[in-house]
Amino acid sequence: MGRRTFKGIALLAVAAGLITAGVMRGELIVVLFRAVHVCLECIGLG
Amino acid sequence: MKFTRNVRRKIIQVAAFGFTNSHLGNFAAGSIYKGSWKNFCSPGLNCYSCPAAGFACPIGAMQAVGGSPKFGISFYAVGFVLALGVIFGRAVCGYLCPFGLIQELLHKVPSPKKRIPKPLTYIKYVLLAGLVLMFPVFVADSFGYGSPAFCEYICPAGTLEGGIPLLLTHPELRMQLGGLFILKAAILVLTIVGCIVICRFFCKVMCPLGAIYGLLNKVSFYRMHVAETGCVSCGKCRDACPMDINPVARPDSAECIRCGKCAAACPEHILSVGFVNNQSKLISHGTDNS
Repeated sequence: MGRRTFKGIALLAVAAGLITAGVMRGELIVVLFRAVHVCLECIGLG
Repeated sequence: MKFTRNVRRKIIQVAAFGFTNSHLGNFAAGSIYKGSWKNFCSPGLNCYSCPAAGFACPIGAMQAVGGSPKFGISFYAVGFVLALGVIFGRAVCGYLCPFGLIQELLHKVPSPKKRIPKPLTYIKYVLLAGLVLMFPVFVADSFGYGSPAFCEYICPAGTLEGGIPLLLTHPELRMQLGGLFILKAAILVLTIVGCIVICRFFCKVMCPLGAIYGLLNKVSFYRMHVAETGCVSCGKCRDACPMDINPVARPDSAECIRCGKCAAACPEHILSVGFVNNQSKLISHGTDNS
């Protein structure tokens, strides 16, 4: 296995861990709540 | 029509645009999609307040979670972008980003075309660190909520995809227009003019998502390969590159969106883009321009 491939696989494992941790601590609720309401900041109303 | 790599890329870009923005009926109603798919982030930059958007924007998600008093930095959104970046690198920008496609179409407007001064390409890292990662976490209101500063003060995708369609259909929102909208409209105009003159101006200068994917170009599985011998230094790859890089000298440049235009332009077929880490297979992949 090349060095680059090893780094890639290690980072993928980190990414999987981060996603799992984020889901476990309930971040999806925040993301969903934000995404299903009109974001006044995004559209320039603040 | 010849089914070239660039045509294939355009088909993927249009398909990704449609997949990310499939709720077209919401434009007329002036509403946004509120289903559970918005738990998930889109790979590219796409405002979740766009009426047609079916997914959350990863940069918006980072700021939303970062600005929540309960969390701080978003593991979920960072992990999602990290995973995609490790697999595809900045090919996400080249193939899957809706705002990338919009910029490429804008660049087709006839005008004098320019290249961007290199120092300006570092602005996006400042925006990523300052406005996306730090501002929402460290600058909070009296209730402890941080502001999504990049969305609020910069993002022209939000103004274009979310702001304009919603303002057109909601008079009550138009009543609230003020200085912030003028700032964002000015940035949108600057971005549109910039994209007409400079290919992917926003990607090069302002996109924090492209900044993350670009840094991961150095380790991504989808990569560029340059054959050790055969380069005649004709410079055709550099001239063909829409991101103003020299792919022979810097195949893993953070600016490279893996569009493959350099590989198509190379008369010696020494450049190639793909997943396979085998030189001979990569070379045959790269020479497949038909």
